[in-house]
Amino acid sequence: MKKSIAFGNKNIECFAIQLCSYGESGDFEFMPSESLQLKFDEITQQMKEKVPNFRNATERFLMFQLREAQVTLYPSGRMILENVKPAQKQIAMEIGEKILKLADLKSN
Amino acid sequence: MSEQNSIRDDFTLIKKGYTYFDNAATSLTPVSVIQRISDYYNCHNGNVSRGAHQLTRNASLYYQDARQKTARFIDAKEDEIIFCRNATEAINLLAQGIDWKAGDNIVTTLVEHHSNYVPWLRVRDRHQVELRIAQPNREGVFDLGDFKKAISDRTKLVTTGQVSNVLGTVNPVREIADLAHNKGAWLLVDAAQSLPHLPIDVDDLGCDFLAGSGHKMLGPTGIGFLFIKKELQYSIQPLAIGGGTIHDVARDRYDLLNSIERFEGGTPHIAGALGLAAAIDYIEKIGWDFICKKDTQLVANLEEGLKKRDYVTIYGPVENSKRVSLVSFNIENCRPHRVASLLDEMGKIMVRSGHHCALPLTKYVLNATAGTVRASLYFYNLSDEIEHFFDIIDFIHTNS
Ligand SMILES: Cc1ncc(COP(=O)(O)O)c(C=O)c1O
Repeated sequence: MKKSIAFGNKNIECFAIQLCSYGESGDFEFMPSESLQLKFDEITQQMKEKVPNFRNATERFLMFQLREAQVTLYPSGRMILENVKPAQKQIAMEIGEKILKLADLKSN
Repeated sequence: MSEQNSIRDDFTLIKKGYTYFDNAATSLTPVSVIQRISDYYNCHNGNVSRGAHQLTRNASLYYQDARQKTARFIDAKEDEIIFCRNATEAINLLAQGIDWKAGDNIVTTLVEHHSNYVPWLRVRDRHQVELRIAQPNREGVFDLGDFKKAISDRTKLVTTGQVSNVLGTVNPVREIADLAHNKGAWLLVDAAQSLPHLPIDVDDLGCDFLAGSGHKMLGPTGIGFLFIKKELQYSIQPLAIGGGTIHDVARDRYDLLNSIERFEGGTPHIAGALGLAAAIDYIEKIGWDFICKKDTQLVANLEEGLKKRDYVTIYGPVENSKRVSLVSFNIENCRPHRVASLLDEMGKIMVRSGHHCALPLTKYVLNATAGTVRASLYFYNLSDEIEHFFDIIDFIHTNS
C-alpha cells in the first residue's frame, strides 16, 4: 500500500508492507520513499511527551507503543509495526502517518 | 586469507558493504554468473532448437551444455534433468504428473518447506490419496522408526528435504530411501537447501527424484530443475505441453517427444540455465573441500556464540548437531522482525525473520508462533562478520 504523506514542507510517498506473519497478529514495515533524516536528539523529548508508552530511546532507534502497535522507529523514518492485525494495511498506514506527524518538527 | 579475499571480490554486494546472512533465502550472485547471462543476451540471443541460423545453434549448444553440467553436478545423466522455474515448480511437476490412485499414500514430514508440503495436501484432496506425516522430536530430528511406521505397501511416494531450511539439519536420506524402496515406493528429495552446501550423488542418495533451485546455489532466479530417474520418466506426465515437447501433431492427436524435452513446454529460461551452469562452474572452482570446511567452521562459531547467550533460544539440535551453516533463534522479548530490522539498520547485516515458509514446523514442533530469526551463511562469510553480529544482538538484547 502506498500513500503520499506530508512531512516538513513536502509530500513524501510512503509504503506499508506486511512482513511474513500468519493468523491473528501481523507485523508491518512502514517505509518512506526517501530518508527523512529524523534528528532523534531533537524529537525524542516531544515524542516522549506525546506517546504514553515509551520504551526506549537510543541514537539509532526509538521504541514505543502507539495504539495496538509496538513500534521501532529509525532515523530514516522506516518503522517496524508489530501486532497490527494482518490484512489491515490501512491501519499500519494510519499508525505510520500518525508517527510521522509526531516526529515532524514543522507540525509541532 | 587471500583466497578468501579474492572470493569476496567476486560478489558485488559484499564489496558494497553488506553482511549477507540470508543465503538460505537466496545466495549472492558472483560476477561470472551475471557476465554469462549478459553474454547470452549480448552475443547469442537465439531461441533453442528452433532454427538453422548460428544464433539459435549457439543458444542450443549452450543450453545443452548447461543441462550436462547440472546433471554432472549431481552425478545424474544429461537426459534426467528437466529445467523448470524453481524447486517449487519441480515439486509441483511431480505432484501433478504422477498417476495417483485412490488409496495410495504419500509420506512426508512436518519439517518441510511449504513447497514440499502444500502440493501433497492438494494431491490428497484431489485424488483421495492419504497423506502421512512423519513427526520429528522437539529438536526437529527424526527417528527412522517414524518413517518405517508410516511407509506401507500402498506408499507411492516418500518425500523429504535433505536439509531443513529452518533448522539446517541434515536428514538421513539414504536410510529413508532404503525404507521407501523396500516397500516399492519412490523417493523425492527436496534439495533446495542441500545443493549449495553438500556434494550430491543421486545414486548414493538413493533418490528417484530430486528438486533444486538455481538462486540458492549462486545462480539466477527463475531457473531450477527436477531430476527424474530415466526409467521413471514414462510414469510421469509433463506439467505443460505444447511447443518444444512434440514428436508429431495431427489434426486430432499428438505424440510427445521421447526425450527429456517433453517436460519443458514452451521457450525455456535459456539465460537462466546458462547462469546456473556458470554458478556450477564457480562452485566447482571454489571446490567442495573449501566449501565444507568453511561451513563447519562458520556454523561452529555461530552456534557457540549463540549458546553462550542465555537470552537466546536456539531451535533445532543443540548438542552434536549435524547441520549446515544455518541457525534459527529468538532473542528474549524481541520479535523476529524487530531483530532483523535492527541488524540491518545497525550493522547492514541481512538475516531472515518470520516462519520461513514452514508453518507446520514453526507452529507444531518449535512452538515459535511469531516465527524465528534465521542466520544462514555461506563460504564467502567471515568469522569477523559473526563477531560483529554478536555485538549487535547483545546491544539489541540490552536496549529493546
Ligand atoms: C527446503 C526448501 N524447499 C523448497 C524451497 C522453494 O524454493 P523456490 O522458492 O526457489 O522454489 C525452499 C526455498 O526457500 C526451501 O528452502
